[in-house]
Amino acid sequence: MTAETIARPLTAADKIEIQELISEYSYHEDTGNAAAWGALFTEDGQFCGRNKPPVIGRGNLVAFAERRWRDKPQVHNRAHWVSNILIRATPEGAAAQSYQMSIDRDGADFKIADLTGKEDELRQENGRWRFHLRRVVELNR
Amino acid sequence: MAEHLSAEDRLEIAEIVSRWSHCEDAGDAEGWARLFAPDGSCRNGSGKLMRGHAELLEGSRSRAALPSARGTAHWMGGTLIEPVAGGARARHYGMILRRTPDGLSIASLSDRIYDLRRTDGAWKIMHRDISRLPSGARTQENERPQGGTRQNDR
Repeated sequence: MTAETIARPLTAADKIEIQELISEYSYHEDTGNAAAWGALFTEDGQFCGRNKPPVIGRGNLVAFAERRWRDKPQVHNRAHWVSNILIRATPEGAAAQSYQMSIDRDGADFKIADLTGKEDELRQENGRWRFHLRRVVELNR
Repeated sequence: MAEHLSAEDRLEIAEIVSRWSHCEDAGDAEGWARLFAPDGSCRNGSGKLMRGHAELLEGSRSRAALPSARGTAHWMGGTLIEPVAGGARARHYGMILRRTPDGLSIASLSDRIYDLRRTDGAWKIMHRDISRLPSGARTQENERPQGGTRQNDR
């Protein structure tokens, strides 16, 4: 039996909620709302940046987001664009892949700062879909 | 009291805010104005408020006639939709791309909020608001427009 055959099918409502979770991530990342950003993860959630050690657990995730906003003023002028979201059922919940484009404002001009991919493992916690593992990956390099 | 939104409601609302881009980029002023309820309103990127079908239609026609409206494409991010008392609120990022002799450039980034109501069996926009992106140190949700966006940023 393959993993696909034992995964619980996702409803349209599940997929919409997961799409919105992925979109909501940008809002909190771009406004420095660390508590709301951390709340998008499960209590034992993980965030894995590129070539960086994983950040594990909601408390550490919130502290990580607070440090990012405080120590990197350049991110105050950045907006994250998400596209090409793919969602599939897994035995543990769901998995998603997406593209992300970071745009920096420089005065009246804008510059595409980076393109990355995101790979997510998602779980339901207290009836809501949350990131169990969010990994930043290279995109077409 | 906030109402439950079904998957069908959410898809219909997502299509309305997507259709906005299609109407704007095609210069379809009538189609754009029909996205709103008859008593709907829209604040544009310059802070101007248009109220009611006639003002919305005139505003859209005026914008479509601007040279700066040509060669642009409205590119929206993922839409967040939540139930609110009497209807729904949708929100997404908006990017306007402009063709120039040197290629495509990003003309503006914005945060767009739509208040919608179900009228005669269809979702319609009651009010649309806009604020600029990136938002800097802003952490309050749903704040009013900050100004400083360009005239064509709608």
